Amino acid sequence: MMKLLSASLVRLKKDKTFWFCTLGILCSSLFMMLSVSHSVIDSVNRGYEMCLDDYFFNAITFLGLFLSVFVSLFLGTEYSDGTLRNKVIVGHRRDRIYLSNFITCAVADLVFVAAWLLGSLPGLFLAGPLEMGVQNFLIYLLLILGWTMALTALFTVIGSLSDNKAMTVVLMLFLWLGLLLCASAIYDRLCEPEMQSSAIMTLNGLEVQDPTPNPLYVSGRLRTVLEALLDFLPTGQSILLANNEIVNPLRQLLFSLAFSFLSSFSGIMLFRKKDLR
Amino acid sequence: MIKLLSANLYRLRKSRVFWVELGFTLVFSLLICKWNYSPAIQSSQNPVYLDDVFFIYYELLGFVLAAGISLLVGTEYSDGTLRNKLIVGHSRGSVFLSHLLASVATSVLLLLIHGAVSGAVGFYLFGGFQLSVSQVAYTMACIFLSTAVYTAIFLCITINGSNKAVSAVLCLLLALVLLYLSSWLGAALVEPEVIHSQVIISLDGISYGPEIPNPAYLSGLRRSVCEFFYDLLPSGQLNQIIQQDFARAARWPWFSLAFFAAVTWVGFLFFRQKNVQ
Repeated sequence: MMKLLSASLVRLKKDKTFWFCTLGILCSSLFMMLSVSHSVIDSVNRGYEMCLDDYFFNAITFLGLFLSVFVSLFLGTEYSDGTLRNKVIVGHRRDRIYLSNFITCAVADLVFVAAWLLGSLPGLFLAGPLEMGVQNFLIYLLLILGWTMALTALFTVIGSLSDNKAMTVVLMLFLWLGLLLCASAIYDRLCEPEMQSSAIMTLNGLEVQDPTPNPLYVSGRLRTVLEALLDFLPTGQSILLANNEIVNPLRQLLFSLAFSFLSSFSGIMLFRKKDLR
Repeated sequence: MIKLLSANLYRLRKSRVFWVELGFTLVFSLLICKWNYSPAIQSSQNPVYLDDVFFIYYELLGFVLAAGISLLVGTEYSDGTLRNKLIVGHSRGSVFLSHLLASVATSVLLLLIHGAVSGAVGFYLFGGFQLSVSQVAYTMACIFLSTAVYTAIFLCITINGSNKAVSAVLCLLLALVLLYLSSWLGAALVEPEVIHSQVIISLDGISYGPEIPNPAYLSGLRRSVCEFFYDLLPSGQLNQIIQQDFARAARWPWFSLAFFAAVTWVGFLFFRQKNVQ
């Protein structure tokens, strides 16, 4: 296991995709932080109340994209170059091969999160300290590590089971996009207000009419289910974090752990039976 | 040339990727109609029209085409088919053109499937278009041309890149970048020229303070450049169609034709000199 892990980590260190993704995350978070900070400072100067907390985590949704690209190419190469088969031939157990791959991708995930944080740091100097405090910031950081780890676990399942590198890339990118769209649709529906009131223009100016029930509002058991689903999906957590709307961090952390465990467990089970050609 | 084209179309018919693309289009078109339909909203004062639902699919069209073209055409390299075609005496021009025509045919088929499903189901659920028949026909022609531009871009990347997986990553990332670039351009261009310094909400209704110039408003050369790129990019045109903003629609077909010709020409120039290993 240690030999497999150290071999994978050496490969990671030499992997061009890994460094491209790290650089991409660093640049994109830096660009987003600088561009948003300038417009927010401008809004604050005009009297709007905004703080760094509102947009500090905006860029984290993109971590999923970079993770999908990296994991698909990194694990896809194991298949296309025959490395995976060779590891099995020389006597390594399949579950250990799987776990070493997952841990390597998780290490890459840690580096990606660090790159995002490094790119976002200028925001602290430009738009002042975070109002959430150090403790909450650390909890948010833990949640980010949780959902990215859950996504890494899911991508490792696909990367270990799909033997066509190009197909793996497409599958993972579409999976990330699909999960993001799904979470986004749920989030939008949950944001619908219970009552709505329309405004009409009269001679006295704009007048707000009496509130009426919003047909799009989700209530009852369905609302509970959708809220749980949003917390369970890694992309759902990323949307909630980006919008600074974390209500129950412990629940989300436990969901991330459960998601990672379930993915890895089912991945190992399926990988054991996989025909490695 | 005809033989090459018929071979490509025959391969297309047997390709799993092609059928998955068609299936995805069909299911997604149905889901969009289902997700946006609510009997309560349809009977309210502000019902959803077919126009609001029909064009949503085009937001994802870039990704569908990127995945399909990179996997279908990329196989030509990985399986050595491309080299064999050149060895038996086909010119590079006819090989390139046959792939372009087959890819455009695939894209048209996707448009037709989406049009038929969304049109039929949407017409039943939401009623007809609010746009006139001629406007719908003109919009569909613009969508066809934007799709052809997307196809040409992804084909040029794939046919000039020797690694199928890397081509897939590049095409999908480019689709994402184009989508975000267009959203950013759209958001920048939609800023009003003047804004109210304050909004006062009282028991008498809503009243506004004096108007002041909007610092985020783009004017002069910067606005013209942003408008040019927003109209030139296929994702920009489709974004405007989704938002039903047809203010500059008259120049879209010319921009698309010019962009298509330029991309195809550049792609072919590179392909002519490419070392097909």
